[in-house]
Amino acid sequence: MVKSGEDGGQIYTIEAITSALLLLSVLIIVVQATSITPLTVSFTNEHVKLELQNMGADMLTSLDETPYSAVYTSDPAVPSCLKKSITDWINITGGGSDWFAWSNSTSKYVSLLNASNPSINSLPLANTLSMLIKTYGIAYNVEVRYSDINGNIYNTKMIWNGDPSENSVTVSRVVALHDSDILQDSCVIPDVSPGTKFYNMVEVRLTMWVM
Amino acid sequence: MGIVNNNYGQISIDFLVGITIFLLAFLYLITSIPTLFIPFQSNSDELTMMADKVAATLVETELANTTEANTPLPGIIDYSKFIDMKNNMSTSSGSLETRKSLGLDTGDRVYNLEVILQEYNDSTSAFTNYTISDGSSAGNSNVGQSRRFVMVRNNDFPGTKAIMVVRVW
Repeated sequence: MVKSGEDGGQIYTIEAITSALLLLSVLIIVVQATSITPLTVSFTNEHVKLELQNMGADMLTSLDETPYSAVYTSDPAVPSCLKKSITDWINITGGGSDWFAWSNSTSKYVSLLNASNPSINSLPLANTLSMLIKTYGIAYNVEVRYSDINGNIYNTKMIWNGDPSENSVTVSRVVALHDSDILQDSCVIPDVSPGTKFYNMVEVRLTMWVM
Repeated sequence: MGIVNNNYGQISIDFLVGITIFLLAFLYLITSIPTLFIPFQSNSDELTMMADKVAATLVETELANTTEANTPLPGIIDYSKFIDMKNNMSTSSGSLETRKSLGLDTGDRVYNLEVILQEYNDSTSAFTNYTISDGSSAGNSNVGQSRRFVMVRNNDFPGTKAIMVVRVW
């Protein structure tokens, strides 16, 4: 290759390309960092989430306030439908080791990890939540958060309908479990007080988002 | 260090200043565009907040079931209280009284209220609507709306799942 005697000005081209790339990347970052919709500055935007939050909290509250004994007289000792939902899920899945997803069919909830487990359709929590997905197109996940005797916090899934969107809302309610509630020998939720009838405190976390 | 005789390859200060001003202007534009539309937006924000307040009052105290415990159970609607409110709202004087007691009287006007209880049927996945109103309709005006989930209990357990929609205008 014949060496050109004049190579001044080449760096300008590189500068131009670099600055163009810089400009483009900054533009992309700026545009993607904010989403502008007609509702962006409006309260309505927030209110959609507020309504979801209210409905979720209402569901957990009203279930917790409804004595299970009043619904199913066979089990008179359980004071709350929410608690009964959690303990039933633990007991039918062999210690709370299975997740369920909503399938829009006659089988309703289907197991994701162990198909031989019975369904959770009859659980008051699962039954109540299915109203959201069937009529409003609101998807939801239910997770159970608990700690072990050393204070480490763990999260396990109960109902999992996929990863929530960025606009999801989470509400939670705390349920106390006792030794007599856990009929399984092995349970993912450990006994934090082995000497007493108290078993553990679990936080039922309900995450909802509009599909 | 030798003296550099030429200045090729150095991004000029002019370019930096120019691009900084451009980006700042761009950022300002992006953030201020939505606020340009504020004058054209509805004034329903205030109504929405009123609807939220009324819905909370109804669900958590006014219509809440008190027969099982000595305290109101938030989220559990006593069906007889709902019917009482429906009867109260059906006359114009009762409607005014009810709306005032729910804080819808702001001094210069008393806002209209409509409560719709949508009872959910598990087997058909359909809703049955029960409406509380004094017969007036919102028409074209701005409406604030709030939804709550409730259990309606009429001495039957666990009660019926329902969505309570509160509208204020």
